[in-house]
Amino acid sequence: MLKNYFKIAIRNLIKSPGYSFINIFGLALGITAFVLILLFITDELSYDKYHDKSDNIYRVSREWLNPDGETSLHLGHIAPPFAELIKEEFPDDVKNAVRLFDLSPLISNGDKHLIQDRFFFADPDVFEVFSWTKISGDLTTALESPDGIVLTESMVKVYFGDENPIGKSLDFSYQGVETVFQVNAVIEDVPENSHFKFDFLASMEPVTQFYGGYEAMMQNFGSNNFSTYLLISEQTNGKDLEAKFPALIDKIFPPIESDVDYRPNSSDFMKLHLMPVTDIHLHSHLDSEIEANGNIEYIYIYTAVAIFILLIACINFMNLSTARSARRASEVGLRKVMGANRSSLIKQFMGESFLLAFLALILGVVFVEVLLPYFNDFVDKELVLNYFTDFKWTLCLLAVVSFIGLVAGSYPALFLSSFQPAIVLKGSFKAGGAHEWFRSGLVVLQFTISITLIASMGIVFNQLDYVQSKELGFDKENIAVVGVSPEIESNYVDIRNRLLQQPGIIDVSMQSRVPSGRLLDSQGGMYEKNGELINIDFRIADIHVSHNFLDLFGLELVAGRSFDINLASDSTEAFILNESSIYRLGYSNPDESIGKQFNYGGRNGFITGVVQDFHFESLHQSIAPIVFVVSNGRNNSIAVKFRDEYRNETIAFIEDQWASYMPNYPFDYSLIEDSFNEQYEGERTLGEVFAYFAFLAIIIAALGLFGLASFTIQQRVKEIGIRKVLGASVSQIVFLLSTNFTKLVLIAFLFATPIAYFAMKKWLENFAYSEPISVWIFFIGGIIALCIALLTISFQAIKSALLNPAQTLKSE
Amino acid sequence: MIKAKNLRKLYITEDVETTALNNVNIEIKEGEFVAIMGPSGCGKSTLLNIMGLLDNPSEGEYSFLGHEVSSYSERERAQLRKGNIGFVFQSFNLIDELTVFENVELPLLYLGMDANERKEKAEAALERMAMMHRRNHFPQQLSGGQQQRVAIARAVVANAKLILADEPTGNLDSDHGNEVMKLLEELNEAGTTIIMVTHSPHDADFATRVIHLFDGHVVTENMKEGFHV
Repeated sequence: MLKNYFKIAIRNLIKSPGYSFINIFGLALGITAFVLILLFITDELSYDKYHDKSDNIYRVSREWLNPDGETSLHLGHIAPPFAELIKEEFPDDVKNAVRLFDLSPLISNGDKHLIQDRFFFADPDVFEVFSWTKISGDLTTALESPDGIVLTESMVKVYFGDENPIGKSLDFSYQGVETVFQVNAVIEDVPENSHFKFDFLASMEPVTQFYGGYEAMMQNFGSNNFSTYLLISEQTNGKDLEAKFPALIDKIFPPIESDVDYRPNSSDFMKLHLMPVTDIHLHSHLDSEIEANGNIEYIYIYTAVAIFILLIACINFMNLSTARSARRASEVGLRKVMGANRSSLIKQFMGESFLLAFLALILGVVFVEVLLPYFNDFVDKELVLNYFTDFKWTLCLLAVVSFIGLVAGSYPALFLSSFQPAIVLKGSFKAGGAHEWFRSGLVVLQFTISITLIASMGIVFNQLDYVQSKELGFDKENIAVVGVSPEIESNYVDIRNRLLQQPGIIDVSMQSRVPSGRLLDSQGGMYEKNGELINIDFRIADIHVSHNFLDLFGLELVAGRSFDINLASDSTEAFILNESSIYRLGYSNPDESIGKQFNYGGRNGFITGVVQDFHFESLHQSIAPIVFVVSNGRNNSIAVKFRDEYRNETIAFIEDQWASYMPNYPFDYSLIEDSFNEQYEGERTLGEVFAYFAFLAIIIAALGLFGLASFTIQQRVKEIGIRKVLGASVSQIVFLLSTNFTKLVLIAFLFATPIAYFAMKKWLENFAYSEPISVWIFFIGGIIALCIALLTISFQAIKSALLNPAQTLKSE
Repeated sequence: MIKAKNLRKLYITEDVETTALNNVNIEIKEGEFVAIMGPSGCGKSTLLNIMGLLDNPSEGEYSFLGHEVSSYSERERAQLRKGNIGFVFQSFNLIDELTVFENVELPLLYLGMDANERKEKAEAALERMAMMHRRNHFPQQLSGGQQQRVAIARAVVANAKLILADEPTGNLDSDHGNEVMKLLEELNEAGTTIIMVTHSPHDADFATRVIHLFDGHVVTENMKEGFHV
């Protein structure tokens, strides 16, 4: 019997190649999209699960609160003493605590000098907590010696080629600190699905020295630069442990109530949090993270998109099968006459649907294989699909086939098997009524999904355009940024003069931060109000700058004056604030604040100027209160403003100057404009995902519509003939045939508009600044869908309208 | 074999009620060859559908092989139909996607027969209809007469006790029509009961009894000479 079903199914497929193509190709596209997205999602969900003890590893983060309870700052890095303090305080709960400290030093071996972005210092027990695969050496002792270092396999190749690296040395240089490390162990490269990836793990000892020794380091609660992880006992619940932290905070920072100083309960404005290591990649979006994380919201969006695309393809199958039912009706009737009961027919049609799904899967897998390299480029991953070694994928693909077979096949199977032989064998059978409604409903659903995707894409790109073209309040064009080292910093004046001689260079400044990053540095202070000095009770971020910073970045002064290089006191006493700070401090206008006393981070002085608010951070963030001070050694970068026509010469010239000061240092620079745009990378990817998948959705939907239209129109051939005989023109007939489908697209538009509107409104909440959603985006989405639908239908409609009625009427 | 008592069949649509059969009483014995005649729309096909267990009457009693089936469900009717009733249609109704052999084999598949037995029986039926040489052809590669012979082979393959033929020659020229009628006659002589709906007096001559229907009523029953009910 199975053989018989199979034969019929195959012969049916061959007999109607167009129908088979639409179904198999459409389903294959759906499966391709689904599998690719699934690959991406499973990878995103697998982050950090490879550690043996991943269930018990937690990261500690630190949050500061304003007096109103609002978060002022929440860092994924904490101060160095916490790891040890937590371990000592909760010996039953915490089995181990390790710290990681990352920076980008110059690592050299002989002639090989490379800046390494994935360099971490780590506590020796790091291998007790995390599981990385050893290749050689002893991991338990590797970081115990003060000069110990562990390398990944790739770095061994880079620095030592095929030699055995164990016991060999590597030179370390960072901001004037130079030391030599001994390679004690080699591990395999860190898996890509890690929330932080490194190439070097070095002993923490040099960092301890940098902080002035162990004692000093254990007193330093202000340097939040250490990623800290706890290995908690299996009996301990992370939430319960977190609940014990406030007591620890109050113990470390006891309340002070004296005449000179007052500090309330520290735990009211400072908190430590725990997050399972496996949650970090998708759920952690703190003000500081080791690497940019993924986003669980996007996982939800992508999952929805994948399911929708598959659904659209399934709908094609359902619609075409039922529309074609007239052709299969007599077969059903006959089989029933021959003794088939309904269940055997349901089995037969379900079988056909499974066969089709299976063929589509094969084609889909071919598509996946072809597209995977491009997809990997697009998502910046190295995803692979192992059907044979990774049994779960084979199972998953079979599950997809079963799902499609079931979803797509069930309705046609129930529908077709319900035919009454006495009716269908008479030849008077016509599918209609409720089933036509159902089909129309499915078409509406397909176009609702398509239009929603198109409109969402429009909104994403509109917002991207908005954030990129919005007036940020400073000049972002033609500014190159180069990192500083102690050599550069100490020769800054000389370097600046040399750079300014280049005709393409307009100005040069040095500062702690440039616009486009996050504003994470801040200190406490006091300000003068009504003749009294009052504590500042909110966070004002500080930026240490050279005198000409405001000029170079084109920041507008709304009151007072800029820093004056000729006034020696400006270097220690002048504060320039932005408008947000001024209003938050309670001044009624910028002018009122000028000349008022202001103490900040140990400096005592006066507010000398107020700049107009500008977007230092990305438009995801609201404008934060900022204070500018003249830098005295807290510089991280040099900014060079140049004339656009001299771009290449300028970059080459800066590189030459750098080489003369730091011959072994590879030169690296960035442009403010690029850095700013990079902040919207996630959104750009989302926009592109919408674009690709909206395109795919509309293609599959159009394919289905094409098939459906051809069947529907076939059924009306006689009607068309009669109308033509009675005098209808071709255009009247095309109009008649297109109207029904047009109605469906319009209904879909009505459904899609609110769905896309509310979904994307939610998405826009990710931005502190966004443009209101324009109605036009929906209209354009609707019009695109309508045009594609009309184009699809009119082909069939025109073809049938041109038929000679003498022929069509004779055939009846 | 068949007993129909006061059969009524109504078709009810939204605003019209049509009586297709009204108070029909028929008894058919095993081995008979009955022709049903009458103008279009007189209820011939409706009667045939009820006799073939494809449809239930609205009122009245109908028994087939001793089973009172008027209240049977579709599933029960299908069960009784299997192997007992063979159908021959005006438009042949072969499945285009199956070969001649596969079409003939189909009823045996639904009877759950094993492959060897199916092959034996299907080949025997094709042999009987002289269609063995065409066993691997598809229906559309055959002439109308050949297709109807395949359809008859399919109707007899399971040794059905009753063959219902709905204008079996309606789509055939007279030569092929005659051939088909002779085959049916041979089957009847071999013991198969045949009920045939026809418009053609020539075809009706092959039958042993002719029933005339008009507007859903039996109007006359003519026995051929030498036969008695």
